[in-house]
Amino acid sequence: MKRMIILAIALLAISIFVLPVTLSLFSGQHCWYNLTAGGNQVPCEKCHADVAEEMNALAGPHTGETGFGRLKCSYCHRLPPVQHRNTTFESYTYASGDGTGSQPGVESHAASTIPCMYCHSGDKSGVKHTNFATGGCWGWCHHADSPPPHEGRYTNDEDCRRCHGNAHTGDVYYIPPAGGFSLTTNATDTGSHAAHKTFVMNAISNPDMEDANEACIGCHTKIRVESNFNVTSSLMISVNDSYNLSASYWNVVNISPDGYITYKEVKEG
Amino acid sequence: MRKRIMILILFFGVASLTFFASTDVISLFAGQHSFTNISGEGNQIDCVACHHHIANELNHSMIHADLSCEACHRFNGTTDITFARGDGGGDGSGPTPGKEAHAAYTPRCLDCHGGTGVWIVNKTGSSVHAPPARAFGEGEHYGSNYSAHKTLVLKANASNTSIGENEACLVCHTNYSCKISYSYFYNIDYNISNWNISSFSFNGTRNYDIQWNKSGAKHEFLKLSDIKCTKCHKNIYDALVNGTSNPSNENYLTHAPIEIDSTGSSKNWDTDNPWGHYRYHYIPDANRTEWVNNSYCFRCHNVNKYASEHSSENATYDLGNVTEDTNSTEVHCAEALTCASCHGSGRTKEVIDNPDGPGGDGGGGGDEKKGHSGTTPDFVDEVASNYARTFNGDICMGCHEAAVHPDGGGGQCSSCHKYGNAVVNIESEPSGYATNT
Repeated sequence: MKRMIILAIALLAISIFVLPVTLSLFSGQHCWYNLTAGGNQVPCEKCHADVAEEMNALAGPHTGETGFGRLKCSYCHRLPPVQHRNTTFESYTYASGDGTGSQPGVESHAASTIPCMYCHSGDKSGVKHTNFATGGCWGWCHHADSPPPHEGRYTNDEDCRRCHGNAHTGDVYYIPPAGGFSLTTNATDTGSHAAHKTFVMNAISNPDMEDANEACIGCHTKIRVESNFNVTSSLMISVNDSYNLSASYWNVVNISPDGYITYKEVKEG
Repeated sequence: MRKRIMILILFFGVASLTFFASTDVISLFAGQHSFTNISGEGNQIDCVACHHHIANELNHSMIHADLSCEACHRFNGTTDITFARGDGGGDGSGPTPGKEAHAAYTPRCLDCHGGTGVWIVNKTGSSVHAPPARAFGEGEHYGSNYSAHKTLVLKANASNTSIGENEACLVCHTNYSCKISYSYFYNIDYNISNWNISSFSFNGTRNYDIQWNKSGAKHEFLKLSDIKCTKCHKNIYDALVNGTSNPSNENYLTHAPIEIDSTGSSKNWDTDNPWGHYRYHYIPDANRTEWVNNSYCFRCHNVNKYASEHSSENATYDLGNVTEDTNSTEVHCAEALTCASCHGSGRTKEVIDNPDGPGGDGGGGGDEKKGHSGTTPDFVDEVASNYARTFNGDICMGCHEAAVHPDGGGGQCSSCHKYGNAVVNIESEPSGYATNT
């Protein structure tokens, strides 16, 4: 036993002595990304592989249904200035290493979670340019706009097309406003009959997600939703016979909810 | 103790290794980046995913089970509501933003059942007609002034439990439950002298509560035959079926007037009459629980409907002309009327002489047959003109509720039947107890 202990200590001593390098924890931490090119060079997917997987799985809104590929993370999470929007939704200044200088982040550093309505609260919809989805957006036309679209954040036509183009129709579109809740800048958007208005308004006041996102995401994505409903199941009606000697009528003086049914709904993801 | 320490060390070791080896960030709210494609025609957001309960109700519904959610809740045939669409109508114009509603609206039943009704495409692709809710679907004649339930509908329209008049529609046409608290007079007293009413008074207050317990499901629509008048008007049902409570259950009950005569051709006074047909209003005791139903109510409160559903009785009771006397073609389900509607002067069923009256045994030389027929002004019309509608039926029932007929009063017939003298006290339903002296 003693021999074994001596042998182990000797081996350990020799090992430490002959090892030429230091073992570091967290390998790779000194390989810095170069941020000087335009756009975002930090690969969001490295940490958010599950989100990337969701975005790649289905061809739907934001995920390539238009035929021009899915939206990049930065389109939504490093918001560009959007002209046609409800300006109550603020644009943020993100940290950027583009070019020779750098821009420190103000409200956000790398990314923010944003209200869906930031992009979907404008007053314009439908086709903007017929049969121009594959045209040269920036180089031919929009470079001369003043101010340039999205304040010149995107100069690559591919970026334009992913949001505004549709390869199937060949047309260029405005981002569709989520009208019908009186939350867009369109004066005809009254939301006066919207069945889900209280859902949306309560989502806005709920702090779990930005703005109305709980409602938007609850319906428009595959997210699992549990809803506890408490709905009226009975009415109380009060009826008085209103009369004098020569005239009478049955006066319904009150109608009010009287009973409720409670149940849980689960929308599976 | 030592073992516990070992387990704790092992636990922390494994946890540390797990955190150290893990490279993924765990996202909250998984699935929020799987967007539903809404670019196809129609609606691709699955309403049922969040509304299984309602879908289940609709699947068990007798009416509307063939309709999709969108057929009602994204209906814009008469409403001019613009809903959000991802397909833009399929013409390549791009998505259409909603205006008055985004995904859905809560429809007013009359959106489909107003006017002359609308045609809707059902789940199988067939066009089906949503019939108009008669009377309440007609603009300027909304409800007409004869619909018995007009005040209910108006109040529903003014209340905010549901949209429009829907509370009134739902409470009758679906399994939505209801409680109704009625308040009305307890009894009336009056004297008749020579077919003139005097000393009329109404007294007291009767409170009557009903409870129609159903499943509570607003999307389980009932077929029309399952809408039971007697559920909401149980006081009338109780009066007809259970009868008076004082002094005992009696054969002759209020709200089921008899034609006053001595006997029918077969001497079964409660089933036939001198005109040789079965009595129209009166139901024998043995048949009440079965026969007091919607059909019985419609005999008076919707003659047009009763006639259309009982064509064989048209000739027997001349229901075509009786319908003309009423306003039953202008009402939704029931007409608010008085006895005079059918039995007033000049009406098809105006009061006529009793063909087999006592014939003079009261010393009246046979005039007892006459009763109040031919009085000037007409007795029935006078009651309708001078007294509130709510009292009319009970004024008539003061004599026509057969139980009040004094037994063994030989020689007294002419007092009432000829000279029109009576002192009456009659209670409102459900007791309906009356005395006539």
